[in-house]
Formats: sequence, C-alpha cells, structure tokens
Amino acid sequence: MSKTALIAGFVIAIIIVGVAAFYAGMSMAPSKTTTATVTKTVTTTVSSGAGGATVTVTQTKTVTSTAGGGAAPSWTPPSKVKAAWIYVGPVGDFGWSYMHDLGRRVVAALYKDWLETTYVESVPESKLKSTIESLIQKGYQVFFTTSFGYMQGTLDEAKLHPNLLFFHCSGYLRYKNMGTYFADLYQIYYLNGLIAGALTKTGHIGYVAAFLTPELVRHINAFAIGAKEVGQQLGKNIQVYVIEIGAWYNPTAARQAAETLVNQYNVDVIAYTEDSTAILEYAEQLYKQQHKQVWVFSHYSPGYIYGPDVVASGQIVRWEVIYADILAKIKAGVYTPYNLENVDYWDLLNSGAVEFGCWVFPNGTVMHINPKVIPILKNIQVTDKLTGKKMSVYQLVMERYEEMKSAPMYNALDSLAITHKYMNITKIYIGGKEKYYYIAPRFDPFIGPLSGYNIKTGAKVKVPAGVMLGHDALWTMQWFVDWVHIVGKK
Amino acid sequence: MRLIVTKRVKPLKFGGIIIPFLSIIVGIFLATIALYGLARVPPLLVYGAIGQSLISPQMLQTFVMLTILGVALIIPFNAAVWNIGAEGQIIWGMIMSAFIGLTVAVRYIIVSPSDLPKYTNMPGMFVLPTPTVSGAYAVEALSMNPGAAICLMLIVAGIAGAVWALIAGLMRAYLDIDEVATTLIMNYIAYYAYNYIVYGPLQGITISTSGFGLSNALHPALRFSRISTATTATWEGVALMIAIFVIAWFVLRQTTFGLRLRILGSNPQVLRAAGINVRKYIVLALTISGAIAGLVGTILFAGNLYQLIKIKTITTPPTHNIGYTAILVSWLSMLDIRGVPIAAYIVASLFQAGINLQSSLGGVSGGSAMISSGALTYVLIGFVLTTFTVLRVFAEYSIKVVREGR
Repeated sequence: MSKTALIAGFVIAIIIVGVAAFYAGMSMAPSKTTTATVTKTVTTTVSSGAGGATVTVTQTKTVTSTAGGGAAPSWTPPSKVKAAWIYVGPVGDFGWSYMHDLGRRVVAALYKDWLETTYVESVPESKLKSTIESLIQKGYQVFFTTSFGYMQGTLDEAKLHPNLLFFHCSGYLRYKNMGTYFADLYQIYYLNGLIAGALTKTGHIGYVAAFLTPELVRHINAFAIGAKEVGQQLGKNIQVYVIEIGAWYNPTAARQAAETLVNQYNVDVIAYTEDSTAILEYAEQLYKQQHKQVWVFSHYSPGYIYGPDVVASGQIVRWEVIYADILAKIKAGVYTPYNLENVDYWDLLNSGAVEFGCWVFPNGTVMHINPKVIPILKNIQVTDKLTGKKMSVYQLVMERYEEMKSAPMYNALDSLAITHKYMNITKIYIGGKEKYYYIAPRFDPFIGPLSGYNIKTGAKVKVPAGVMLGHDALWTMQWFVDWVHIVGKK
Repeated sequence: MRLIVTKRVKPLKFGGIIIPFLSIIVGIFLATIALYGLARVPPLLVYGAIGQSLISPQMLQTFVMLTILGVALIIPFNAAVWNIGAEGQIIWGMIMSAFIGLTVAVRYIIVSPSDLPKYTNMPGMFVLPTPTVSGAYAVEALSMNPGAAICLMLIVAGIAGAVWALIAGLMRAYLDIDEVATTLIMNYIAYYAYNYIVYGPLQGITISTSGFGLSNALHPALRFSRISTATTATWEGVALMIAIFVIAWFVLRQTTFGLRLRILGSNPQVLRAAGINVRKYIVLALTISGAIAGLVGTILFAGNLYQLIKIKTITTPPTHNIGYTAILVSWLSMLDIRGVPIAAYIVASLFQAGINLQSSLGGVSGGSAMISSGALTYVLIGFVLTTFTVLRVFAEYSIKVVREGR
C-alpha cells in the first residue's frame, strides 16, 4: 500500500509543480497579442512672439497599437541598473573569464551609485538558460554572456524576455534586445609578429592554438605576416608552425605542444591563444635550467611575471572599456530593449579595449616590450615597407603601434554593425585640394597582396594588391598565409 | 578491546527513507559550517539559497533529466552491472537527434538576399540568421510532419544510446571485460566523436557556424515547448519522465524480467542454477540503460540547446556531466526506483542553490566572490554524500565494542 501511495503522491506532486510553474511563467511572460487602446492627450503650446499671447491647443487622439507591432514602446531606463555576467570558465583562470570579471569589477566600482552587479562562473552551455532565468528572478535586467557557445541560448532568452537587455560577447547573432561585442587582438598579434621576426634565429616560429576558429586563424595570420615582414628583410626563411590543442584551458596539452614545437620543429619564438600560463612557465624553465632562450608572447592577461626572462611582449585586453560604455548608455537611455539590433562593438587598438604589452605597472602604465628585448630590437635595422625609411625594428614597431592606436575614424565606426564595412577603406576620394581622406590606419596586416590556402580544402586563396580585408572577411577567415603550417597536417 | 562489525540480518526499519533525509539535513548543516569557515559565506544565505531553490522552477529541467537518468542507471545497478557510461550514451543521443533534426527532417533552400523577404514570414520556413559563406541565405523547410520528426529523433537517439551501451555489454558478457572501465572510457570516445562530427558532417552552413564548431540551429517546429519562460523544462521532457518512470517501475517490480535482474544483482548463482542465460540479462540491462540515456540526449538537444556546440574542454561537455551526477542520484535513492525522483529533486535543488548562492555573493561589495558556484554545489553535495555513506554503514552493519577479558 505504502508503495503505491508514494508513487501516486509523487506523480501528483510533479503535476502540481508543473502546472504551478506553467501558470507562474504565463503570468510573468508578456502576452504576445494584446491590443492596447491608449488615449493620448497631446498638448501643444504655441507662443506667438509678437503679442506675447499664449494659445494652447489641446488635441485628443486615440492610438491603437498592438504590442510588438511596430509602434515604438515606451522605455524608461531603470534608476538602478542591475547587471549580471555569466562566465564559461572559473574567474581564477587568469585568462578569458578573469579579464571579463576584472572589467565587471571596474565598472561596479566606478558606477557604484546606480549599478549593481553579480556574476555566475563555470556555467556550461546547457545551464545557460536556467542560469539567466534564476538571475531574472532576482531582478537583473542586463546580461553579459561571455562565451561564443552561449550565442543560441542568449538569443532564445532575448526573444522570451523582450523587456530585458542582453549582450553577447564574440558572437554574430543580434536581436532588438541583444547586442554583441568583441575586443579583437589581430593588430597586436601583428605587432608581436614584427618582434618575433626580429628575435628568431632559426626562422622557425611556433604558435599554440586552442581551436582553429576564424578568430585564431586571423591572429595566426597577422602574427605570421608581421614575422615575415621583418624576418624576410633580415634574410630569414620564416616558417610558422601551428599546433591546435583542442581546449581553451589545458595546461598539460599546451606545454606538450610547446615542447614539441621547440624539440621537433626547432622553434625559438612561440605565441599562443589559450588560457593557461603553461607556455610562459615552460619557456622560463627552459631558460633557467638549460639556458635555452625561447621567446614567448603572453596572452590576454599581463603575463610578464610568469617569465620575466622570456616574455618579449604580448596582448592585454580591457573589457571594462566596453562595459563602461554599454552600461552608461543603458543608464542614459541610449540603449533600450528595442534598438540593439545594430549594436556590435568590434574594438581594435584605437578603442583601448585591447593593448599591446605584457605587463601593467602599479601606476597604470603599460610595458609594451620587455626592457630586456628593447636593446636587441634597437640594434636591428630594417626598412619600413610603407615609406622606404630605414629604422630600427623597435622604431618600426612603435610607429605601427602609434598609427593603429590613433585611428580617429575607427572610433566612429567600430560600435555598430552597419559601419564595420567602412573600416576597411584605407582612403576615400573627397575632392577639393585634400583629394584623399584616410579612414583605416595607413598600415594594416591584411592589405594585399597575400596568398594562402584554405585550411580545410587546401584551395588557393589570393588577396589582390591594395585590397584590405574587412570585418566579414576577417570574421570568417578559414585560410592561412603560405608560410603557416599546421603540425600533423599535410 | 575489539570492534566487531557484522552485517545486519534485518535492515533498519524505514532506513530507506530516514537515511537519505537525515544525510541531507546533516550534510547541509555541516556544509554551511565548512563554507563559513573556508570563505565566510553567511550560513543564513546558504539556507536561504537552498530554500529558494527547492521551489524555484529553474531546477525543473535538471530534475527531469536526473530522474530519467537515475531510472536508466537503477536498472543495471540493480543487476550489479555498473553503467558509468551514461555520458557517452547521452552524447550519442544528442548526435543522432541532431542528425535527424538537422538533415533528415528538414531540407535547406538556398536563397539569394533579394529573395529573402519572401521566406521570412512564410509558415514552416526557418531562415538561418546569418548568410552562408557564399553570401546567400539558407532557409530550413520541414520535409516531414514535425510530430513524426520528433518521434523519429527520440527513437533514433534511443537506438544510438542502446548501441553504445551494447558494445560494453557484449564485452562484459562474453569477454568478461569490466564494464566500469569500458563504459567510462567510451564516454571520452563519444566526446571526441562528437567534436569530430561538429566540425565535420554536422557543421553548420552559415558564417556564424562554419569553422566555429557549431551545427545549424534546429527548426523551431521541432523544438520541445517550454513549460514556462521561467524554466527550461519542457512538456515533452516531463511526459517522457513520467512514462519512463512508470514503465521502469512496472518492469522492475512487477515482472519476472525485473525480478531476474534483481536476483542477478544479489545472487547470480541462483539464476545460473535455474538455467537462465545470465549473459543475456547483463547485455539487456546495459542496453535498456543506454536507450533511456539516449533519450536524454534528445531532451537536451531539442529541449534546451537546439544546436550542437563543440566541446571546448573535455571536462565540460554539453551534458555538463549530468551522466555522472545521475550515479549519485541512483545511489542516494538506495538503488530503489521509488527513491529516484526524490534524490533527483534534492540534487537538482542543490545545483540550483549553487547558482542562487553565487549570484547573491557575486554582487557583494563589487569584489569577486571567494568561491565559485561549482565549488559551492560540490561542497554541498560532497557533505551530503559523506554523511550518507557514514549513516549507511551504521544502518547496514552493527558495530559492537567488546572488551577483552583480562
């Protein structure tokens, strides 16, 4: 008897919970087909200048609008903005999630008068939606989902909650209440490549990649293009060897990949895109124990302390630049749940969201290049292929950096999806005595002529001379320049 | 002085109910002390989060999946066949559901951008959000009845999970290779196969998916319908859970087949003496388990994710390791199928408590919380499980201290 009673009780409990949840949800969800009749009183005050008499005209209008039917809905920015961040990894990874959380902490402290933040870390894709729902229940209105894998889930949630704001990092899909943002490192990888080309003695350069996604493919290409630019002038035969380790955080695999590159491919400079510090530590160990110099470029967070003898330079990200902008615009009523469809931050060096360097000093200044490396670079002379001027590699790197850093038109073009296509215009003809106006920095690594091969099919790819690859071409890049080789693939 | 430990002849009365509940209460209490000691997490906040999560609809999806998986594991566990491979079976269920949902049940129409407006509001058409690599757009059109397609997805996913478990079952039954090792290893084979498929046969065709390790998104008509916006649990998932639970209960408790399975777990010699093919029962136990786990793959794919996403780190597959958590559920239920939903409810709540607690802590003083939601959840579950183990020892064995005569 007790058996049956238990089961029956349980089935009933499930049904009750289910039904209750259904109605709770129904009552919370905005109804889809409400026809609202709004009586609007429009008062127009007209002052006639001459006589000083004031005429007041009162009109009464009846406006019938269907929710979601096109009429601009009213939106008042919340007096207290509650924003939640969702991370794919632990914030202690000192890579991707750590830097996002650093950004969150900066804005939380800066905007503390009106901003309340929280975060949930190590959220797998399959738990994204229920995590968002839990946070909605706690009253959060703004969500930053910081993993490419969250794209579909964020979109589904955005469609279900049309009065909340969603921002997805690194993705493609947008909606009227879902924007996207990304801090892109390709220019910095190019600058790192210039240094790599000067530092390598063997001409063989290594690259440890988490996955060969378009983002990493363009990093690797930019890095390889930089290395070749300097290396070729110095008579080196630059070859870049890439190992894909298949994980964003796997210190063992990263270390093994670096060991393979050094021992089997005679590599003496390594760059990487993955979230551990294993490669920095490996190179430092090699230097201390075997007196072998393998230069590395630290990735994402300032990595100089992990290898002060081996870190040449690196890439640093500052998500707070983007977060501060987005949240202020939400507070000011610029971003609403009805106009995010075109909001797509693609932040390059000019924005400050990314930085060329490997360390941030306590006083806030950035170490662009390890002081140990600077004299080496100053002693190597090259020709700037843009101007034909002779200069040291150090000077070349810093000039390129300054140029990319101060691309004034990019500030106007980098935060909307519709303006990205103008970012690959090097110069436009405007007539008059100026004739040309420059939009992109004068130098970009992805200006043709370039030739390469598709990493899947092997088909030849050519970029004609003078053509600059733009946002879409870079975001779908699936080809390598000719001197990049994938280890273990013919 | 000696300790004498003897197994109790008669189990404790109501032990099956009292022990899990007592271990949860004591475990949570100990966990709050530990959390306070380690990270100064206010105990009231912990109790609040747990209390809140017991009634929060967000845990319903985990509850549904854990119940189904708990049932899936109880069946072989009752026969002393240890299926540690639910993860791999779910993964194959996901892959095959995706195969049906993304290739068999729909066809793709390639449309030029100028023709696109015609398709955007056409019923039964699902325009993939970004263009393909060539610049044209792709539209998914149903090529079969959506109800039939969902049924097909479930059937094929069940078969896929069953086949994956069958391999280990045959190796155990005929080659005497320990199924604990094989099922566990095969999980990882499944993960890597999944990644291969996401980058290969099922790779998406639009620029937002191609090269990123994503499949196309499932046609909205083939998606399970959520019970409410507040939860990711679906009507289909709940219906499957109830059906599977009732059928499994009936088979395990009311049929000769179920009886034989249970005897296989306690005394296989009896079965052999009765002339029953024990190998057949070992294989069947694992296959049935795999089939049910495969269905969870469909629930995950068509009910929550709608698309296959590459595995970035092998420790965080799209199943979020629920196949392993289900082992915990089946043990908490004392291998009694009636206890599975209760254990699943408690474990799902504890997971939800981790999320609730972390989001409460994350905002404190703008700093970073001392402890992650994952860690919180596992501290809670770990203490519950440790208490459970200790209590079970006392329940199953009587321990006597005997003073030796001088």
